[in-house]
Amino acid sequence: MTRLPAPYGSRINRAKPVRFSFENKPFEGFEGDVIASALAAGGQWMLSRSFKYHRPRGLMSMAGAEADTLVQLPSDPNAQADLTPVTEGLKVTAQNVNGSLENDRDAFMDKLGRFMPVGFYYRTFMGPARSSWLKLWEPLIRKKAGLGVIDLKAPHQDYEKANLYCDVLVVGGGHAGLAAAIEAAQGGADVILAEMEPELGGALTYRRGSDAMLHDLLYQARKLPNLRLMTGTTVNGWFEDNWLPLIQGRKLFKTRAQEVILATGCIEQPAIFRNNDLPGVMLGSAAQRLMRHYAVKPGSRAAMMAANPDGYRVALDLLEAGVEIALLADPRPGGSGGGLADDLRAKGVRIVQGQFEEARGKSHVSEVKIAGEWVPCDLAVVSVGYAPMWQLPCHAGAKLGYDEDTAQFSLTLPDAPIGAAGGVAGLFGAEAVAASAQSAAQTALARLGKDTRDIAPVPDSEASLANFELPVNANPKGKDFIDRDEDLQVKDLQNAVKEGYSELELVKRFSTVGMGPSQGRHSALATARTVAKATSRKVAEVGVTTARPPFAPETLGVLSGHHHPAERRSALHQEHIRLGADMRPVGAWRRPYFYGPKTDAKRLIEEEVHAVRNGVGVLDVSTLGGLEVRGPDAGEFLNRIYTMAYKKQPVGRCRYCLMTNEMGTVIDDGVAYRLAEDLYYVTATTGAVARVYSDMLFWNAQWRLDVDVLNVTAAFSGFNITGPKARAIVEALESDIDFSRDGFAYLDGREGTVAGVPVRAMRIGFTGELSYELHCPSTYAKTLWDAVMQAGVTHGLRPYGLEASRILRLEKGHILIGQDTDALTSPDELGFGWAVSKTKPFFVGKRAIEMRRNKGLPRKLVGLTFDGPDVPGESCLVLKDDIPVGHVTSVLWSPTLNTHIALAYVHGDDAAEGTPVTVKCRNGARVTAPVRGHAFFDPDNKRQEL
Amino acid sequence: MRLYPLDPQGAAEGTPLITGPVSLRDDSRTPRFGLKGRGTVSFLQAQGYEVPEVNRIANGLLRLGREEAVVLNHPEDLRTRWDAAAAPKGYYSWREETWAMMHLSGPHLFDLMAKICPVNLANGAFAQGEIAQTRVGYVEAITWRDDRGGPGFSVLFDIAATAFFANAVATAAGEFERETA
Amino acid sequence: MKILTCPMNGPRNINEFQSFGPLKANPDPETTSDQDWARHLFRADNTRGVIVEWWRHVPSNYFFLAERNATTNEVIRTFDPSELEAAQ
Repeated sequence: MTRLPAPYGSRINRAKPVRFSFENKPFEGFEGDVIASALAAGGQWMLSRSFKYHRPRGLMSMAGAEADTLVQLPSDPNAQADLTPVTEGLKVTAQNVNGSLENDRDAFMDKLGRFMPVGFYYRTFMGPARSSWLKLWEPLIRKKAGLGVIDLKAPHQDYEKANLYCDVLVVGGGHAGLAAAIEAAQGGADVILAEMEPELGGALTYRRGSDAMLHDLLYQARKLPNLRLMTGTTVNGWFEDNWLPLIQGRKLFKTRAQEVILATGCIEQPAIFRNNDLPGVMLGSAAQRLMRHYAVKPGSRAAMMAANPDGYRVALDLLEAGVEIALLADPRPGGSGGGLADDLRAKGVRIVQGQFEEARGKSHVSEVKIAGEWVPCDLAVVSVGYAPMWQLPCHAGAKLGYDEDTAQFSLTLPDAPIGAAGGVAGLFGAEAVAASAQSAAQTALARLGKDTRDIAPVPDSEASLANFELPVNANPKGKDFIDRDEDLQVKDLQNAVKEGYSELELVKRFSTVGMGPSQGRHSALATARTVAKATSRKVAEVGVTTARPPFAPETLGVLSGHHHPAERRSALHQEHIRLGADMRPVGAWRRPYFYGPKTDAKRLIEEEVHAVRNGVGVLDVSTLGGLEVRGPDAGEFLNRIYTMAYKKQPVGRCRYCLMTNEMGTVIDDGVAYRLAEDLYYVTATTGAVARVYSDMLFWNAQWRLDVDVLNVTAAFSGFNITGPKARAIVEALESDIDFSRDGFAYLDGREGTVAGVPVRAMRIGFTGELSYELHCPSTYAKTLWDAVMQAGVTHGLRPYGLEASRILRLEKGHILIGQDTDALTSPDELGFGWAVSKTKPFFVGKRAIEMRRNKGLPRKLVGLTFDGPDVPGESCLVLKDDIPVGHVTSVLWSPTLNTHIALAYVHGDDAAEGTPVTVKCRNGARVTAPVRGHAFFDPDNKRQEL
Repeated sequence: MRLYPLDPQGAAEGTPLITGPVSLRDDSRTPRFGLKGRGTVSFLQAQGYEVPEVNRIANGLLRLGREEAVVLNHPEDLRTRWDAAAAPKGYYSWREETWAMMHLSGPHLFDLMAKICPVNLANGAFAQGEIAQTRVGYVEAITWRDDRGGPGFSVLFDIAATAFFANAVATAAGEFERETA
Repeated sequence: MKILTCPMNGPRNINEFQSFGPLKANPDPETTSDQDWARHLFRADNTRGVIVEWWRHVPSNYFFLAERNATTNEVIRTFDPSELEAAQ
C-alpha cells in the first residue's frame, strides 16, 4: 500500500527505509515508523490473537491503550507494536498464537465462549488434587495465554539512574502541558516538561487544524532556557512529596518537583457493540494518528460513528485523505454536528441518527450494521468520548467523580502542590485549555513565591459536546467487548453483578476486568457505566478501581540500575591475597576463609587448627566492631548497656560484654578494655557493630549521660596471635610493653608501641589458647603485621582463616551471636548467669531477664558430640518424646578431638551433663548423644592462662 | 610507614581512579584532626579557630555537629596542644583513620553528582561553604564544594569502602565516557 | 518518596533516616508490676492522630524527634532531643 503524500507522515523519514519481518514475512517501513504503522502500510492489520478466545485483533488506539498490539521481539516480550519503533532487521513475531497468526489452531476457542463464562478459571481448575492448579493447570493455561517469551541470553545493557530537581514538573506535552510549561518558565520557574511520545504536541500533532497553534507553542517553548523539554519520557508514577520516576529509555530520573502540573490529557474511549474488536474497527484519534504521523491510509471505505465534534473532524480528515465515507452515524438523539455536519453533507456524506449495532468480517471488518442496515466498509471509526488520564492524579490522591450532564469522569485534586490543566481537567475547547494551563502555572508560581498575573477563566465551548454516554446493552449473541485484554463482554460484567459482586473492586477480582496490560485504559469507563446500570447506581458511586504505580510497564533493569554489592576491605586485604587466602564475603567485608589452594581446603583448614593448638597462628580480626566510649559517665553508660559491671573495672583490664535488648534477649557480645578512667575501647561482633553503635546513641539520646561514643571499626585494625608459642613471638617484638607472663596477665590490656606502631594490646582470644590481640590505627596495620610475621618466622607462625577460627571457638564451646542465639535467647539459656550482674540497679533487659528467670528455663544451649556415621546438620531438630524442643545451632568436625562437635538447644530438664538427647538428622535418622559441657577441649580453661 | 588504601600494598591497591568526563583524586593523606563530644567547640575556639554553624565550613574547619568538627590541613602541633589541654576539650575522633578523602571534578561533575548523591548539589542549590552529610556513591559520606581551578567536590567516607567507592564512581561515569566516545 | 526535615541536616529523602519508634514513657523497673512491664515492652498504643517519634539521620548519626500525624502521615515538626529535657 502506498503512503499518503507529505505533509502526512510527520514522524517518518521517507528517505530512510527500514526492513524488518513479522511472522517471518518481510516488511518495509520508514525510520520513525512504529511496528503497527509499518505493518498497516504493508496491509497487515492483524497483530495478535486475543487472550481467551483467540480472536483476530489489530490496533485500536495507536496509543498503547490495548493489549492487542503486544508482539514478541527477539530480546523483549510484550512490546507494544503501536509505540515501538521499527529498526532495521528487527524480527517481530505474534504472541498468543498456536501455529501461525493467520491459522491459529486455537481459534476454535472463540466458538467455545459460552462454555467459558466469567469466573470460569476459578471454578474449573480446582482439582483433581490440591496441587493441580500449580502443577497442571497453571503451566498449561500460561502457555495457552502466551504472553511473550523472555530471552535469558539477552545481551547486557547499562541502565542508569539520576536524581533530578525542578520547581515545576509538567507531565504531558500536549496543548495544555506546553502552555503551562511556557507560562511557568516565563514566570521565572525552573521547569521540566516530560512527554511520553517521541514528539511534543500531544493531540495537536494529529488533530485537524492544529498546525499553527503547535508551531507557535513549540517556538515559544524552545526559546526558554529554564524550560527543559524531555520527550520519549514516561512519568511512571506519583509518590509522596512530589517524587516522580521519569523513565527515558534505559535511564530513570528520580525527580523531585516543588510543583507538579498534570497535563496528561485524555484517552479516547471505544464503543461497545458486537464484534467491536475486529481489526479495522478503530478510534477516530487512531485513524488520525495513522494518517498524520505515519501517512498510512486507514482504509478505503469507512463507516463512521461520531457523537462529538472530533468525530466529524475525523470524517473530514478521512475524506481529505481520499477515504470514502460510506455513512456517518450520530447516536445523539436530536444531536447535530453543526457546521461540521454541513461541511460533510456538502461533500456528499450521508449522516443518519443511529449507532454501530454490530460489525462483521472474517479477520477484518467488512460490514457494519447501522439502524438495521448493513453498510459495507473496510474501516469502522468510532468517536464517542474520552476518559481523562486519571492514573497519575489518582496516585497523588485525587478523587474521581462523574458528571452525569457531560457524561465524563471528573477529578478532584488533593490539597497539595499539584495542579491539572487541559483534558485531564475536563476541558476540550482550545481557549479553555490554554486558560486552564496558564492558571495552573500561575497557581504554582504563587506557591513558589514568584510574581504572578491574573488569568481569566474561559468557558469551555466543547465540554458539553465531547462525551456521549452510549447506552450499553448486552448483545444477545455477545462478543461485545468491554475489556479486550481480558476478552470480557458486557454480559460477563452483568453476570458478575448477578453473582453478587456488586462493588467494583469485587467485579474486578471476579471477572479480571481492568487487570490486563492496558489496566483499564479502554475499559474503565464502560465498566463503571455497565456496573452502575446493573446495580442501579450512579457512575460516580461505582468509580474506577484504585490506580497504583507504575503507570506503564517498566523493566527490571530500569528499577535496578547498576548493581553495587557493598564491599569493605580490611587494611590487610592485599596481604591476605598475596598469602593465597580464599577471600569470602562476611556481610560487606571480605575475609580470608583459609590460606592456600581451594582444592586443598579441608587439609589446609585442619593444618591451621593444629598450628594454633600446637604452635601459633594469627587471625586478622580487623572487621570486629570497635567502639570508643569516653567521658566522665563512660562506666555508668556501659553499666546500663551491658549486663556486667564496669564502673569499678580497673584501668588496664578487659572485661566481657554481653548485651541484651529490653526483652532480655542476647543481641551482642564483646570485650571492654578500660584504657583510662574515662575511656573504654569496646569490641562488638562484625555484623552487629553498626546496630550496637546506633542503639548506644539512641539510648543516650534519652539518658543524656556525659559520654561520647565513636565507631572506630575501620579506624583500628587488629590481629590475634594465639597458640602455646604466642608469647615467644610478642616478646621478640621491638616494644615498650612487658609481654611477660607476670607483667601481662590474662584479660590485661596494655598501651604502648610495637615496632614503632601505637598499639592497644589485650590478652583476649576466641581459641582458648594463650592469646595476644594487637590493635592499631589501620594505616599502621601493614607495618605491624610485617613485624609480627617477621618475629614469627622462627616459631612457625601461620595465618589462619575464618573456618579454622570457627572450629577453634567451637572446640571451646564459645558461642557466636546470631549463629548460636536467636530472637529469644536469654543469658540463662546460654548458661551465662555469671555474666549478668545481680547488684546493678539497672541495665537494658535486666527486668525482662528476671521475669523470664521466674518462669523457668524452657531450653538450654549445651554441647553434643557425634561419633557415629549419622551426624545432624545445623538447624536439625532436638526431640524429646518425639516432639521438637530445640535445634542444633553449630556442628563441625574437630580435628583436635577427632569427632563431630555441636552446640544445640535441649529441653531445660535435659541440660545436665550426661543426659542422653535425641536429634533427628537430615536423612531422618535419629541419633542419641549425651549432653556435654560447653567446652569440648581444655574444659578447665588452663591453656589461655598459661 | 603509614599506608592508605590506594597506596602500593594498600587495601584498594590497583583500583583505577577515573579521569576524563569526571576525575577522581585520592586525598586520603590530607591531614585531618577530628574532635567529637563535649568541649570540642570551646577547645577549637581557644585555639583561635572560627567555628561556623553546623554543616558549614570556615577556613578548613568542618563543623559536623553541635560538638563535632574536623580541621583539615591542621598545623602539626594541634594534636600536641590538644593532648596538653585540660578537659573538657572534646574527644579524639580518629578521622585520618576512619575516613578516606577524595575529590571529584571534571566537565560532567554535576551530572555525576546527580547520579551518585540524592542531595541537589547544583549551582544555586548548594553553596560554597555548605556541608552535606548524606550518601555519595552508595556509602554514607560528607561532601562539600571544593573548587580547584574548576568546580569540584570533596568527599569523606568510610575508609574500608575506598575501592568500592572508586568503582561505583567509575560505573556511574561510564555513561559519560560512552557519550564522549 | 517522602521528605523528612532533619533539625540538623534539613529536608532529606526519608530513606536517609531510620525510625526508632514512638517516644515512650520509661517506667521505673523497681516499682512496676510484671504485667505493666510486659505491657511496656510489647504493647504499642498505635494511636491515631499526632504522635511523637524518634528518628535517626543515618549519615550523620543524629537522633531527633518528629511530631507526625499517624493518620495522614503529615510531619508537623521535628526537634532536637534537648527540647525534651527543657520541657521536663
